[in-house]
Amino acid sequence: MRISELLPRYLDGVREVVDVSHPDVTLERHLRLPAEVGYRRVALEQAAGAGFGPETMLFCLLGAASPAHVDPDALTPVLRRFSPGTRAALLIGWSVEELPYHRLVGPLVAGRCQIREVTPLDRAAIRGVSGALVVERVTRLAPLRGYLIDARTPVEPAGPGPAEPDGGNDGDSGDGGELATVLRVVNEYQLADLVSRPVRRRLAELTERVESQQRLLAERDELLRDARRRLAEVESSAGYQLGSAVARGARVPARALAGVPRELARVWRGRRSARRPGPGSDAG
Amino acid sequence: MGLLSAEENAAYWNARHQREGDLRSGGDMSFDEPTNRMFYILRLSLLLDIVGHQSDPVAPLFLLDAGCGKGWFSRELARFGHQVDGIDASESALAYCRERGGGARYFQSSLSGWRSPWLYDVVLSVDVLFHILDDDEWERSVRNLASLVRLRGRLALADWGEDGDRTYGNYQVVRGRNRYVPLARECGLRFDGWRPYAFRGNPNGFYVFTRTG
Repeated sequence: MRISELLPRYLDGVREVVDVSHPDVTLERHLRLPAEVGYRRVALEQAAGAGFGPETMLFCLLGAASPAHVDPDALTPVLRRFSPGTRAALLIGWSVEELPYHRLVGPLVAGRCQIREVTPLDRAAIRGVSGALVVERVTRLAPLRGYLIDARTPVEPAGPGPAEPDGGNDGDSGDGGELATVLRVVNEYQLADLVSRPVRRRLAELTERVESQQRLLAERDELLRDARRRLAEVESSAGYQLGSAVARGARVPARALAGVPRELARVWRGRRSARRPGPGSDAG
Repeated sequence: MGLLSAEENAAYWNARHQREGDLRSGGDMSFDEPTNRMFYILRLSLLLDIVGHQSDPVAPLFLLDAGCGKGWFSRELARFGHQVDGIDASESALAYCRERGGGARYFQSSLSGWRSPWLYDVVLSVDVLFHILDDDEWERSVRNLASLVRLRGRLALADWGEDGDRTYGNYQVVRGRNRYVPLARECGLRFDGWRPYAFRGNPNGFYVFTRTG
């Protein structure tokens, strides 16, 4: 997904995007905002003292590489000044696998903000950015989106509770639906957390096993290289070549009469022929 | 004509997957292989709209292909970058899937018996449920598949789109809208509509649901 695909779903009622990213970070061209939505840059410190309403969307790049990235804790005073309905689009400067989400949850809760959507972004789109969050200051639970699968469809309200029959009383369906959603979130979270523990443990064990096997393989490779080198040295030595000639002579004595002296002469003549790899010269 | 027993049904599908070609074994037996190829691609395009047009290699969608047969849909969905689990009761079909590879994982299981440590973004079952002949087993299957869908995830179940049940031959029982929609609602899913195949008179299509609670 690209940020220009994500933002339009959350620009209803927004007249201006306020970018509090570091001045060296230029992201406006990636947003492809419609003509009726303005864009303005504001320093984060200044934003912390201002108030924001639903006609403004805050925009910034979070991450660990200060000063280009905004630290999540620095967002808290800004989010606290959101009035209900105000949204923020936060780009994620960490990789998804390394996202320190524990540092995002606190500021969002402190600012009474709900994550409306979190999604990975296409690698090629904005360098160094792996994903994006859209958050909204809420007073009650806002409709949730499915991960990635709702990209093309508008989000409808929670609608009538699943247990209500056709033509049921819609008057209190909103609260019933909201409670059902919250219960689903909490219950999925609790149980998934439990079930994930042995899976995580197994992953850690397998990772350690793979690393151990890789170390073992590296050691074995080193031993093998050392053994091959020593074998080459032995096979190229004069003693080995002479001994091979004698051994061949022992098997075929008639050949030894000529072969052993020839080999001796070769050794005496010089090291060059004796150091050739492979078996010694043919005794003939 | 009486319906096949569970054992006869299992044996029938095992033999059919061994005997028939790649597509026809799990497709429409009244079509030849090239026509079945069109049929498969058309159904895949419907699934593409249901699953959505986004994918990510690092944080993929998790899909369950329930009754994967020889794995054609599992492989194609995996090629889109999704993490796919394919389940089927037929050993011969699964052996074929594993030999072909293609990125999906395959497990032998009934639809009613599958469990996973994670819930799925999309659970799909393509032209399988109407081959579950026992009504209780069908309901257990639908309930189990529904329960495997995470919050805001989707369920896509193929069957015919009219009300009422109907039997074809001895190995097919189609069940109607009046069965699927209330059952899914009871399981916490909202009915988003029925997408017909609209392929050469085939009366089937996908019931699409979204979990809302």
